[in-house]
Amino acid sequence: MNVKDTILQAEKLTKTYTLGKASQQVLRGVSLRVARGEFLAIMGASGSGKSTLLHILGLLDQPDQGKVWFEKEDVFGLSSSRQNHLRNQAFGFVFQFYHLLPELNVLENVMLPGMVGCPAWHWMGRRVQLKQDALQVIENVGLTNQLRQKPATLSGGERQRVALARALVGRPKVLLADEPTGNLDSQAGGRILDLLCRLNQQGQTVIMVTHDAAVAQQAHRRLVLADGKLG
Amino acid sequence: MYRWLLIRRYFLHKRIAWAAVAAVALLVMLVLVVLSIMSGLLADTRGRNHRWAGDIIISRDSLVGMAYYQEFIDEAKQLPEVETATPVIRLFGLEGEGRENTVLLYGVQMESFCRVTAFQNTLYFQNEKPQATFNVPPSIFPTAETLTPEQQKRGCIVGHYTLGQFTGVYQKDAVDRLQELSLRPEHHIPYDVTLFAIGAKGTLVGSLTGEYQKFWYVDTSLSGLVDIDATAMYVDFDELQRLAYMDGSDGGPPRANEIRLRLKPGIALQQGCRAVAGAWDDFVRRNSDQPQARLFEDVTVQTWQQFRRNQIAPAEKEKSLMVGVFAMIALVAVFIVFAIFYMIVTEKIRDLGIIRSVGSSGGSVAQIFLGYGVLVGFIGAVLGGTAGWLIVTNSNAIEAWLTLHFNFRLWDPDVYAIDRIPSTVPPVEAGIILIAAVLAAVLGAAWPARRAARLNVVDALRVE
Repeated sequence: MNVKDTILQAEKLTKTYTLGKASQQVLRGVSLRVARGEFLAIMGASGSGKSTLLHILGLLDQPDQGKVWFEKEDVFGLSSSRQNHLRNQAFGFVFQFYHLLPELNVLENVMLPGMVGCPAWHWMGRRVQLKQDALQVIENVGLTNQLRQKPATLSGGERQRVALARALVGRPKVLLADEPTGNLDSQAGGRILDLLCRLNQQGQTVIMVTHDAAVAQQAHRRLVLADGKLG
Repeated sequence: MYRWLLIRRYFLHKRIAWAAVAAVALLVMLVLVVLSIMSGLLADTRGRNHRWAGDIIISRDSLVGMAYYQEFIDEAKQLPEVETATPVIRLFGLEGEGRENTVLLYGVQMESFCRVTAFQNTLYFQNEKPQATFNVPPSIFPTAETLTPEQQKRGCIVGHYTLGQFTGVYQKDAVDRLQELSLRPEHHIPYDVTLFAIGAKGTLVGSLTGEYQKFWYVDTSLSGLVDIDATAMYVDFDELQRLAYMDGSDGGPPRANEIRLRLKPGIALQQGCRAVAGAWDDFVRRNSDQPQARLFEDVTVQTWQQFRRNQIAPAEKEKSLMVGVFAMIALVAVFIVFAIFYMIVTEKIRDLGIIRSVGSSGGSVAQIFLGYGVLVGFIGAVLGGTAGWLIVTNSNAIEAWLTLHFNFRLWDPDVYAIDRIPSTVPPVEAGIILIAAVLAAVLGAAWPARRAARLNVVDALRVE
């Protein structure tokens, strides 16, 4: 492990979901600190709020209360365009159900963050570089032979590797993985975990949510979310 | 760039989007065809009225007419706006030995009338001659060594559809055949005309049984104006003026019912009308102490559009009505596009969440659907515009084919008084229709796009 300074810090996060008259507080003053280069696993039972916490850390959702600092910057104090920029440049997401765009092929799915982050007037100048970056990460996850395949033709493990490649293509500072092996068989899941470990060894900060203790064993640090609090 | 990629992929992979394209295309085609034909009919109606009436018309509704018309014509010709002018007598008469047919008699000075209006172009036999006349063939009076000027000008020109009154044949095709077979000047076809003359004081003058004169058929006029072509009989101005005691033989000054004027090229209609009206007011003021000056009362100075308002307005209203009806149909297309796009957004919610999760803004997501709307509208407009253009430009061939194979006529010429369906697409109106179609598609996509932009990312990602 090559842990340096704090890259991500959350303080007293609360979040309540309301459905009709019923409400459930899933986060009750959660605070945590993630060091640069760390591999952190957040564990918890289903519905414990671990995905909600990950979404808040990755700017996909907002807390009811509390703050998140990314590299000492209060992210929820930023403008929405700056938050979009951070989501595009600083964070990479891997979801349990892959979340690939079915109309795009493997290469296009992996290039998507690059295309989103590249203004139209810069596209021609950066297209070649973006494609090369995408090809490189696709090679790293072992899918070079399936560049033109649509997600529907891939296995679960292959889809998750595409999702991982998409998350990594922009060289994010933090990789957020939400049950990345939850929908895979043990072999495919093991391969994804190996990739995450290898990335972490190369310096990539990884925050992974899982309910599987065996998977969480791969991380440097494990936190358990229960009753809305980290322990 | 990803927006264009997704727009293209969604368009190619979503067959439902082609339903939106088809809705827009059908709408554009429908509106283009109807508007082109209605615009063509309106332009045709306006053109025919203008050609028949001249530019400016000074007229008095009373059958008594107005005095000092020639003096004003002489003055009007000096106006910088006026090219030339001609007097017209307009009276009701009875035709036939038994006086069974009512006709509207027009007394015109042929040469000047043809210069003010396009009357000569409406004639069947004389439209290409250097100068149309009322001259009868010399064989009409075989025993006379030389014809008197009155005898020579005793020809009459009948409106195309007046032949129906005289023959009992009303179908245009049948009238055309009649014209071809028997209605020829050399056949010496007589028209017995009787009228009741009204003097300058508004009382009957002349014989109590009416003034009778026999005219001979010399030509047929087809102006394309049904109200004129079904009732009009044109005779020489001097002959009709004499017959109606409007030549001064009743003790008053000579009278006419109308003065028609032609403006010089480049003179705007309203400008010309103002100039003529001003000159007329001045003329009336200067001649107010003349005998029969009261006949200046109720005289109107009108443009051809005002003069023929009753005939033009229904065509304009019909066109406006059609545009209104099709504007409502356009709303239906907007709702179709809206419904389809709403379905697509609903189906694509998770995709939108994915796009947002990699850093796209809500506005960018909205742009995907607005761009999608532009693409649907553009392709629909191009397809519909092309189909509409093909239909309009081939409308007469299509109608001929339908008539030949199904004996079905889309446009009855007896009803619409047209020989051919207008087959020109007005470019400005076509452009407006195409742009409106694209805007309608964008409008239909706007609300779904707004919904897409406001999606909560996490909620979107959770959609199964």
